[in-house]
Amino acid sequence: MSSKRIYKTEAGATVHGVMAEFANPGDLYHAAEIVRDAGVRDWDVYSPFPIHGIEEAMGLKANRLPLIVGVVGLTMACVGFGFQYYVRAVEYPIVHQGKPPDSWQVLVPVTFELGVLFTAFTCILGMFIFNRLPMWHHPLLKKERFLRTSDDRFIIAVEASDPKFVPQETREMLLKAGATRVELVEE
Amino acid sequence: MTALPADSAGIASTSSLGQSFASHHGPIDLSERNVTVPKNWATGPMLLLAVLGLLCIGATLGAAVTAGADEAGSKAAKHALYAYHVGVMSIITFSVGGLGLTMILRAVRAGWSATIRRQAENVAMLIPLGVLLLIPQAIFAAQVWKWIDPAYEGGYLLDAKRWWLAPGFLGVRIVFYGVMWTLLAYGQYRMSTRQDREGDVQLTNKAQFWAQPGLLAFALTSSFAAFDLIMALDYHWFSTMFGVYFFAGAILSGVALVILITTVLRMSGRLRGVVTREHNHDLGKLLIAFTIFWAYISFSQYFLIWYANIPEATAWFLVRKENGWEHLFLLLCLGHFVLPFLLLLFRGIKKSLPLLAILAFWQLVMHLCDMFWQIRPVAFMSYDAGNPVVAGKVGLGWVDFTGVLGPVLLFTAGLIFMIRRSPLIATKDPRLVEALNHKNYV
Repeated sequence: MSSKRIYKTEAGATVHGVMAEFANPGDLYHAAEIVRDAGVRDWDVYSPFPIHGIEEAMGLKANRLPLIVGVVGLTMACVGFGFQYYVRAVEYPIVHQGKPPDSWQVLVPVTFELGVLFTAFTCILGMFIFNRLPMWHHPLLKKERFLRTSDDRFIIAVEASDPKFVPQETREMLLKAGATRVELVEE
Repeated sequence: MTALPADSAGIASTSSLGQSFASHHGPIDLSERNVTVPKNWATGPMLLLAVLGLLCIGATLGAAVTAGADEAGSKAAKHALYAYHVGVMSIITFSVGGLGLTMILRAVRAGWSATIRRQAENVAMLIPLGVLLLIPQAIFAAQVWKWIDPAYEGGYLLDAKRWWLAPGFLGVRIVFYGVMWTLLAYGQYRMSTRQDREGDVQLTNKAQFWAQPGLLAFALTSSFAAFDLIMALDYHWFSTMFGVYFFAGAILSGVALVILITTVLRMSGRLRGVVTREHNHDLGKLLIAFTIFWAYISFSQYFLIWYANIPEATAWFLVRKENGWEHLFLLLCLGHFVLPFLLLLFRGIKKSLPLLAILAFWQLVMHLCDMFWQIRPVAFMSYDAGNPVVAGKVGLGWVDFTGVLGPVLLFTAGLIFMIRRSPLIATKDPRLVEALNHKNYV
């Protein structure tokens, strides 16, 4: 976010970005490809339902969450195994049910559970962090027409923080991409 | 979406979402050249495999027949028959896995699988081959199942099971499983191939409908077959988990076989753009899922028996953890689960044609080892007061190789025969467009 230009409306409000409405998912999909190819970085697509393949049209890259989840899950499985083994076999060995204190079999269920538990935790937490949740408010929510993205409208919003953002040019690009209506969004 | 033009090059554009959604695999080629193999395809390899397989089976059974009547001779005969049993049970599990996979894909209406289901059906159609190869075991029954002799003193555990293990009843059950599986496999295969010719969409509904009671019958018959054909080799032992263990190994090898067949067909220049990296990815997911399932089931079985520590239950594992069998035990833990599990976690491997095929082949070999570990120790088991004490050394001989390879080679020849008989994919399946456009959205 280098050399951030700040745009103001005539009324003095800071510009958050522009939002463009599209009539159907097909138009939205093609417009997303155009915005992607224009090299825009800070933008998003809003739709009442998931659109298959939109991540490709938006040029979203796979994130590193699976790797993080895998590493944390396997690490915690090892920690679970190691901790149980330390307690049962090294720190305070007890023979119970006639089993040797250092038997590995008895450690497996908890090892498995800890692995699964922390995999799930990492998934949820990572999802929150990558999506910057919780997000209590967003400037788009003030726009009456934006609310229809939960019903029957498809919207692309380009944010002013994007280095390529110039209100008039961005607006023209979106109109050329097939937008039925483009609005300015204030902070 | 009904009555699709099967030979239309523009089939991709019939997707309801518009052409840009359908074009990610490029134009789709459904010509004869791409989705069928010639009627005389791979005749040489097929005949070679069949002859080799029959030779191996002949040599193994010959060793059993010509073995002397003395103690060493009866041991040698038992060795050969148990090795052969490993081979036959392996190909039965292969094809039973194919049948289970076919019916599961039908029952859950898996649209993506329309281009790979035919190969699972082909695998399932080989069930009669495996069941027929059990005939020698019926002839040599007295040597395979020594308790089949009514005069055999087997103690309480045998006396309590006599009614269930009575030779006539046992034989009738095994025939029943074979007939039931064959009917299920043939029914699914016929509905699918009839649709290729007639294009009737209702056949899909019919196949889906029959897959549901079919799965119920399949679950029961495969569980009891596991009890009768593998667990009962040693009548002392009982595990309620064994039927699921059998199914887990079977379905895992069924998925692995479908991966291998589609890979071979793609390497021979067919199924281009029809079975894609996306199908590979999904088959890879099924492979890792059933790998985990196999490990979960086999560990559950082992763990409960280990924890309860009841002598007649633990004996089965104890004899398989000494005299060389412990190496196989370790190989199964690491090779059938840990290694493939860690490798299949990576999406790149699941999407790669050669790597996934290598792993599928590896899992098939591991499945053979699993069968070997379950069945072969009984051959050299020694008993004390009716209880199994020592499984004896592994004592690999040439019959172990011919006994296992014979049925497997014959099975492979049968697969080539089945693959040539019908188109490589369900050409008129109403979900074919969905399958051709299949993509994993992640």
